[in-house]
Amino acid sequence: MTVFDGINECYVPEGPIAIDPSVVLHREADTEIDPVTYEVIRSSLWNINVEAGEIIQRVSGSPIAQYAHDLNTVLLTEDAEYLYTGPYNLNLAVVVDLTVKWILEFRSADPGIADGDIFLSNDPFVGASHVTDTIMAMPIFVDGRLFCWAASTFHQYDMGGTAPGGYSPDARNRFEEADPIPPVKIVSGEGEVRRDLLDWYLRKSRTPHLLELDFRSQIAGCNYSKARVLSLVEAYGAGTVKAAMRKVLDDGERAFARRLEAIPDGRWSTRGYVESALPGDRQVYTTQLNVTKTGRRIVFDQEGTSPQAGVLSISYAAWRSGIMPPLVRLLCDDTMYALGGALRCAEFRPLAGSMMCASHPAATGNPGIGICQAGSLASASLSRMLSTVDDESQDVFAVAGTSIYPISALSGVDQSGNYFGTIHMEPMAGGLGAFRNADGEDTGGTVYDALALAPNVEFSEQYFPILFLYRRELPGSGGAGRFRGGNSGIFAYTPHRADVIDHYTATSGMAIPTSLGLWGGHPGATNRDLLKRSTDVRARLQEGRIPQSLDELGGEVEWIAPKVRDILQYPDDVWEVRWAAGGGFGDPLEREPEAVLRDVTRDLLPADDARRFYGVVLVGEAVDEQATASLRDEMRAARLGPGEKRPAKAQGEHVLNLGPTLEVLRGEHGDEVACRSCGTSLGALAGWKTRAASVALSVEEVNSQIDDPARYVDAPVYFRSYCCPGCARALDGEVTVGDDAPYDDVELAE
Amino acid sequence: MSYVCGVDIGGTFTDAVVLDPDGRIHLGKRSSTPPGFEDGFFDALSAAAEAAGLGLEDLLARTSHVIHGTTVATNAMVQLNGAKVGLITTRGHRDVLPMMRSIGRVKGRSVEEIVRLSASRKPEPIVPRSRIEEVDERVDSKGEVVVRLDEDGAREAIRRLVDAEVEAIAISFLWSFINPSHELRVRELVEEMAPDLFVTTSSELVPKWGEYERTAAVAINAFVGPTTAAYINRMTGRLADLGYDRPLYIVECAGGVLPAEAAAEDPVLLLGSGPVGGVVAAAQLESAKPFGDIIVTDMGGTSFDVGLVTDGAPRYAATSVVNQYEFFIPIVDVQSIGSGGGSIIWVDDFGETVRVGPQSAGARPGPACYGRGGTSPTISDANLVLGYLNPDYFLGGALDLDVGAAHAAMASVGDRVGMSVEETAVAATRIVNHQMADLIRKLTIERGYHPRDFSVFSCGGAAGLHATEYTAMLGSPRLVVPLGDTASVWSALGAASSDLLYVHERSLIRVAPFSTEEFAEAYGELEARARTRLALDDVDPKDIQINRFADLKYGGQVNVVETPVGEGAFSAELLGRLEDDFEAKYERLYGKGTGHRSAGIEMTEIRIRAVGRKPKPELARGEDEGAEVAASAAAGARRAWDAVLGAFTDFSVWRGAELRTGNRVSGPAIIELAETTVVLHTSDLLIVDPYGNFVCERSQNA
Repeated sequence: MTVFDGINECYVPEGPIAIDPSVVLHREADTEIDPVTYEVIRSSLWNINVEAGEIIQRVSGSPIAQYAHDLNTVLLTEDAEYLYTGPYNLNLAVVVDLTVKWILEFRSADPGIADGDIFLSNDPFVGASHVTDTIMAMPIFVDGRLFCWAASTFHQYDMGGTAPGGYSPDARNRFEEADPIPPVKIVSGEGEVRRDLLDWYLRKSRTPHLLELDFRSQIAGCNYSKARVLSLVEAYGAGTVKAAMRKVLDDGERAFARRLEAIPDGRWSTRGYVESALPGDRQVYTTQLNVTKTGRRIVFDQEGTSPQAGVLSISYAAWRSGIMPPLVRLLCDDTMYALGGALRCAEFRPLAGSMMCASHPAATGNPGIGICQAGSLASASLSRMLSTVDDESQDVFAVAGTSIYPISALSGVDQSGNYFGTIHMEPMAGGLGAFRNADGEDTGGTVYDALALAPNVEFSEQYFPILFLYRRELPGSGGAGRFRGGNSGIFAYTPHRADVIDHYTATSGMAIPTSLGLWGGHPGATNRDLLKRSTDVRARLQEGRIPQSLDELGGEVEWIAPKVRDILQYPDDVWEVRWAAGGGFGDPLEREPEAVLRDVTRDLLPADDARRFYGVVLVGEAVDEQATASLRDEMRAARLGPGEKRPAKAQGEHVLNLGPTLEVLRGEHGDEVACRSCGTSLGALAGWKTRAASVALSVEEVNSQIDDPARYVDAPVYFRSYCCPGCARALDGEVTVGDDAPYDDVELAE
Repeated sequence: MSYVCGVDIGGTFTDAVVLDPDGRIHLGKRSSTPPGFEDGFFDALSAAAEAAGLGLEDLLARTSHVIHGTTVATNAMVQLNGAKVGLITTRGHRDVLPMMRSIGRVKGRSVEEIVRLSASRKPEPIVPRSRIEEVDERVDSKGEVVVRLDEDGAREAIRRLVDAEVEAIAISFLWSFINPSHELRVRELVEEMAPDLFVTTSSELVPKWGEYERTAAVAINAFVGPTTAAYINRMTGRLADLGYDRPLYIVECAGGVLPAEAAAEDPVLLLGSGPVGGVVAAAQLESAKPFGDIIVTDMGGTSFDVGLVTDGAPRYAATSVVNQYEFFIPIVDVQSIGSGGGSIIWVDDFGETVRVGPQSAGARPGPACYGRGGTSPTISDANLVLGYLNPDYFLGGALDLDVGAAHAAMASVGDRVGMSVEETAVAATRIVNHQMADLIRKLTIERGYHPRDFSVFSCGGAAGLHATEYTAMLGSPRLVVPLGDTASVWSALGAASSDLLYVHERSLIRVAPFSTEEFAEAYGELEARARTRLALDDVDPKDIQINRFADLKYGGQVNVVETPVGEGAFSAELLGRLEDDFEAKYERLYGKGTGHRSAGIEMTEIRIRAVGRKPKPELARGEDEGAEVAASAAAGARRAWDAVLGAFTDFSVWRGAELRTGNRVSGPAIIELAETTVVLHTSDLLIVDPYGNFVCERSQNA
């Protein structure tokens, strides 16, 4: 029997937690709370996290906090339900409850939980998202009873292991990464830091002093939250504050349930692929995320996901945390991310030993792939589900860019003898996925960081010995669609005042697009790292010209694989990074020609793409309406292929819309799916794709910023568009690999 | 002796203040007159002249200087009706501005607009890509030229922009703050080819590290430049027509004033200057000195603004944010939330909880009680329901308030949560008071200060209704309604009392130990620039005060602390003291042991604030007339909600204009002034000080 106790399998608490009787929970809450006192306490609870997060940033002074916002703060109830989470990294919002539950279950007897304690952990099998995220959790006591918890999680620059920064491209198991630390009581009783434990903790790091500052900042954050909570208790009484906490949860639950109830019952799935588990590996791995919604419950499972492999695997906590950003963005935007109530309606069913819930001793240090992928799949599944809600104010969006973080790290020693090391933060400027009624924002950020911030070129050049040749938005990188995906960007640099730079990559989404489109929209650009060797860049600069693409330079292009280590870049070499852009929404042939023209004139879309993906013919600065109409007719005809077709119209009464292109009708012979434009029947919901006019194109054919997957993997990778056999409208599409058959991404309950 | 005139133009009203040679203050308030605004300026000034017993031309003939706060630059930016701008950048970096470091999508937006992904977008570009030109040139992080400037290419770029009929050109190259030669050369080329164009370079405007915030500053300068310059020219023209030939000064966002011609050159310095005057007044006026460090709060119809004065100086922010653009213009740090008299009271769909704002009924339709068609209940309606506002004496009786409409609107919300009209009103004011206290906490605690160490100033039309409550919540010892009825034109008074101020700064990235020679040279340049400028302004050298600062941080950490640099020659000892002062200040702001000492100390920027002190008329002080209030000040009593008792009770009502030095008023009481109302609850005690400040000492109330 599989035991999910955080030792050999990831910790997955089930049912009530057994807590040692030495720890008494403070459970009494007033039965009534007046609405004003509630509103006052509620806003304080929200602000406590915001302020504690500020304090952590201030005390640590860490660039990771400042530029990547890679931290979050939470308040939890006495039994580890979420109250609020800070508006920082949303992935990190939801990893703490598991750790606190584990502490309650496994630490309440020995060494016990007392007032003034703080626990520290970075164990992914218990509840950290990966080993470089340190969780600090502090129980807050009132009258000797455990009232609530203040906690935070904070990404550390380095915790040891074979790769500086921790994103190892080649760790075969967790013994080749930084050590996971199960929860330890690092501050005990009277609020005193255990110096011996702290020294042991700091000893792991290449940058122990920074680690200690971050450690102190998290303690300051915990202390601040505790003081604020206790001042609320003093002002209003414990019972009233507890009542407010209960109401935050109850209201959050009601709000979430109400939104779920507006959605038909069913199951929505998204399949996606990642590549290359270890250096040299050319295989493709399947990941799947299924959302089953029944009444006021929502269940996430990972059925269909490949077994754990190399550095692609993540822990259960990381998988769950990856789902949170799209969940809160799409369904908790009205409750200020009051997650706890939502989680009461939610269940997460892991598959032990899968890539998304790896068993010990898998390597899980590299969540830039797995967490991002879980988030992208959840984004797609939830948006597909919410497409049934005919209310434009309900956000629905295609997968956003930076869908797999393109971890591309550099390090070395500059000419002054100083060590440097970093990963590029430019991809924080992701292209957002297209919305149901608007284009995705170009370089607009990410779903998982509410305040995504890209660095200045001058910042990078000050601290790292590189010279940028260019850094710009990339026209046409966003997926085509009726509403197009947001564009991402590209940059290139050459070493400057360094003799050599050492690179590694630990990413995916190079071979297979991960920014999936929705309802016929195309996928966004893929990640790519190119190294052009032995170029004439220095001569060109000398001549007074700054090369603006690798094509302008002599030399040999080296295609960098998703997992490589110790690639050396010399002063004549130019490194270029492109990051994944946002997916498109709807059939590109339905995009307003004027919008296409505007994109071209604003240099957001290459002129060639206007014709190629949108069927829009431009003459100078104008749309040729007639030529556009006939080109679009031709392209639609091509989708249907040769021969006369007389598809049947669907009969019956409208039941619901699956999305903007498809509806379900109920007739005498049961339910059938129909094209919303022309009424053509596609038969039963199950397997409707097999009855559509299907067009499979290799992925580089559907976005000018996607490259031939054969450079990275052996299997062919397609974008398959499912079109209406009647009117040729693109109804939906999917990215698929090799012989994988179309899958049912929607099942409705009876 | 001569007069000083201050005129502050706001969205609704234009306020004028005249200080006479005897230190008396004369007020004029008139409607603003968009889009031109000049008429409102002269209407208000005429009104103040009349109050001083003079005609406008007579007044101007006796005036030593006119000081003007204007939102013309802010309006151009917010309404996006600035100039047609061309921008010239380094080849490969055209997208610096449109990318906005990604954060531009949400910068400065409310948390509600941030949580929902579709709710915020980047603003419309102030410079479209088609008018951003790249030129081959490159300087590296050490200031060395890696690629020489392609002058032919630059000429072609300028030619294209001129052909596109741009009205202004902004130039911003990478690392120009270290080596400005390429930018300056391109500027020369522009001046050669198109001498009439407004041209501005990033290295001259803001020689600071970070190309996005530098480029945004210079692009915005160009965007608001021609409009603002034209406005200032019109103003000086009309003043000249009235026979006035002495200086016109314009209020800048850094909390001083600039001569009109300097403001026209760099109008970006005026952006966001609107709410700054009040903070400056609190920092500069003699009448505010007794109150130590001050939290300046200003509540109007749509927003609540807070700024800080510490050690006699306003607290600054290193960057400004307007329209989601963040840019390198140091500004008096004023934070705002949408809590004003017009904030709408509503019910949360899910929680069945009363909420307030951030939506506002604005001036139109306005609160329900204004009778202009508004039906949503607002904070003003709540204040009327609770008895704080006098329906017959609002704005001195200029607007009759509709009590019935306020009740009906309040009931529409109360019915949904099962609360009476009065309960709903109490709820809404409690909530809004908490929102304001939260903002103040954010501005103090998150920046390393505590409200208990500050006096709270209550300014603007609506603050007096709420200030006793939020002051109590914060634990601040003292509430001050500065100069009583003058509080409502506090900002204009701030303008009138401002000194000339030039903030000169540049990035200088160095690691300690610092070089005394380099410091002497770098600060020497900034000081020489300021002294030349101040000499042009006819400032007597004895009235010049130059304060030097350095921005320091620990290696590997991001927190930057502006540290004062001692006076005198740059000796090793002085620089040693600078490092010590930095470490002490760091600990004070960020906590003990939070500095990454082993990584060393880095300097990022140096700065001077050069002040040209202007003679200020001394404010008149009253003689103590005793605690007892004159009978003429009594205006009866009315029932109102006492927040301390938690019940309705009888409040005495007083005409604020009749209160005299030494008078004491105990709560529950309401003091009605022409433009504002001050509410005192049970146990509040107000004393009028010799300047006419209304002072509530909380320690006496406890």
